[in-house]
Amino acid sequence: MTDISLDRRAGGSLPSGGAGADARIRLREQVIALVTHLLLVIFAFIAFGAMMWMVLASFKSASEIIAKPPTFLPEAPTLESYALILREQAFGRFFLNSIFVALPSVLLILFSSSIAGFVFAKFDFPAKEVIFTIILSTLMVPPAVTLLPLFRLVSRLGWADTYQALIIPVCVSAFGIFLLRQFMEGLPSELLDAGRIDGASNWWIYRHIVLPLSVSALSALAIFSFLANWDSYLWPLVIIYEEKMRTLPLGLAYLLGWSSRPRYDLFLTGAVITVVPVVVFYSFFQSRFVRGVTLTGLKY
Amino acid sequence: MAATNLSERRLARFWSKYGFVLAVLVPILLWFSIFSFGPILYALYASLTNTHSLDPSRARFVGLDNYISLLDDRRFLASMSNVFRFVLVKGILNIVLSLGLALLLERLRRGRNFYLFFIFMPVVISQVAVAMLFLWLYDPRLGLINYLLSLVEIPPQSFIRSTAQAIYSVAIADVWKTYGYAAVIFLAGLLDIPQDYYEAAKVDGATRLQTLWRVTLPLLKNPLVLVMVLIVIDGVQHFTMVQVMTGGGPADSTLMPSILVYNYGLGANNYRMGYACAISFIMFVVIMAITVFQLRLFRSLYD
Repeated sequence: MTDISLDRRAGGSLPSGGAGADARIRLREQVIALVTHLLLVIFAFIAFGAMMWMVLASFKSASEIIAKPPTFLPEAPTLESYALILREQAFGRFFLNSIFVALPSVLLILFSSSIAGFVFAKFDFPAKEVIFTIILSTLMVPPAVTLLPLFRLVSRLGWADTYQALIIPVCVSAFGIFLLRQFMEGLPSELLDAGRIDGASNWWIYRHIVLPLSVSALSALAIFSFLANWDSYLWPLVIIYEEKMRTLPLGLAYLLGWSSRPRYDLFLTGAVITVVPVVVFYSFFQSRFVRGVTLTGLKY
Repeated sequence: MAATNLSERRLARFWSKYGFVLAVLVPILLWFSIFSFGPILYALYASLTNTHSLDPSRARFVGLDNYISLLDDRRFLASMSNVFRFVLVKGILNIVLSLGLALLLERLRRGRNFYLFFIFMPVVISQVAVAMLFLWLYDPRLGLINYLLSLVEIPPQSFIRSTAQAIYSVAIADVWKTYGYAAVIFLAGLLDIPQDYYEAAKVDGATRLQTLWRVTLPLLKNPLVLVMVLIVIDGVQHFTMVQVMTGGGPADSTLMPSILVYNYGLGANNYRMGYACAISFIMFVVIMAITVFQLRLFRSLYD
């Protein structure tokens, strides 16, 4: 898919109620516009309202959260559930773990995808398409297939409860290689040849010509691999035993077994801690996130 | 002497031509062999043995026994019928909502990004966090949804605690999180349709519904195929939200194949790696079959 912005393509527009249109048609258009906005407000409210409800709940006391009827705004705003979750459940550590895993994973994915994408896009060599197809076909394989063999392999390497167990098995992405190849095939070869005539090495061309021109594809890949990594649950669940090595999703899920009664105050506060960095990041780069969907369009 | 010179020169030429390619591809392919192809082939092999997850030493080759036993495994059959319902509900709701939303957003002249900002937000947040939120919303006694139902005099529902409602409840939670993604794909497709097509339909006197059915949807073929394939792939291998919200219960009513792979493979008193790998391969085959079927279906429908 090509990178298209979420605006109507140039040329041609809906015939609007111009000079000849009578008032009835214009009124109808206005009613339709009003209904459109009303429906969109409902859509937006269902998405955002539920999240705001969660954020507000994290500032309520444990008893207020389960009060009937439920309160919307916290009656007596308090940080007690944050204090509790940080004291009892090492959520600060989980947060750092998630960062220590996500950042290197994303950087390695960006590097490996871009340099392999460059090779597949701009070099000719025997069996190129065969190799590429084999790599791409791994996208069809559900993670459940490799789960147990990887568990056996990584355990035998002695990597259980380490950061590399969460980084190395995800640091190359077939999807990323596919995406960057597609993108780099669109880069003009003349630019690369100009560098070659000047005697530049392939590494130099990659570093100084190809990478800077691929920023839009790389940022889309960075966003999606970061989200996938931050969200990752099944693999850490399998390979992490020690509490201090848990990532945020894992720490959050373990809250369920922490007490016999559901502790919604902790569930929601933990969820907010997990979500906030992503939402802040998203708020600054919303259009990049949304455009990333149309650019990647394949996998999340 | 001359011969070595020649082969040396040939080697130098080979190196200058393919050196960079090799330097990149060898490590990449090594990684794939160790962390992707290798494990896939190993899983296929393991599915033909009775290997224990933690102790491979006593593994015995059993042929297709695992696959044959699966046909009688009530839990496996339950997981297949559950995932079928899950994908069906998720697919229908997801496509109806996201397409409807995209059609609404397309009508706007301004403010598209404003609405998208809110609607897309659930897509970016963690599945475990969404599961936590819905655990609370669905709580029969304390949850917001039963409270809202009580305002309109509807008796409280059990949602994820009832065998009848659980699978639909988790599917709805999943739709809440994911439909914004499909909406963006549809919106991009809609904005790509040249306006002349609509004007032509208008000149021909087509109603709104006819225009949607005869002009818009056929032109949305590619995004539709993409979204449907994504929903099936995503749905068949779903793990996280269901595992966190229900763990497959109550009474296996939300058991998913992925959860079963995890339980059989690494659950206490199980560790039946060979058996679990057989389930994962069936998932793989199902995903491939449905994907190919969907692509064929769409090709025959619209070409």
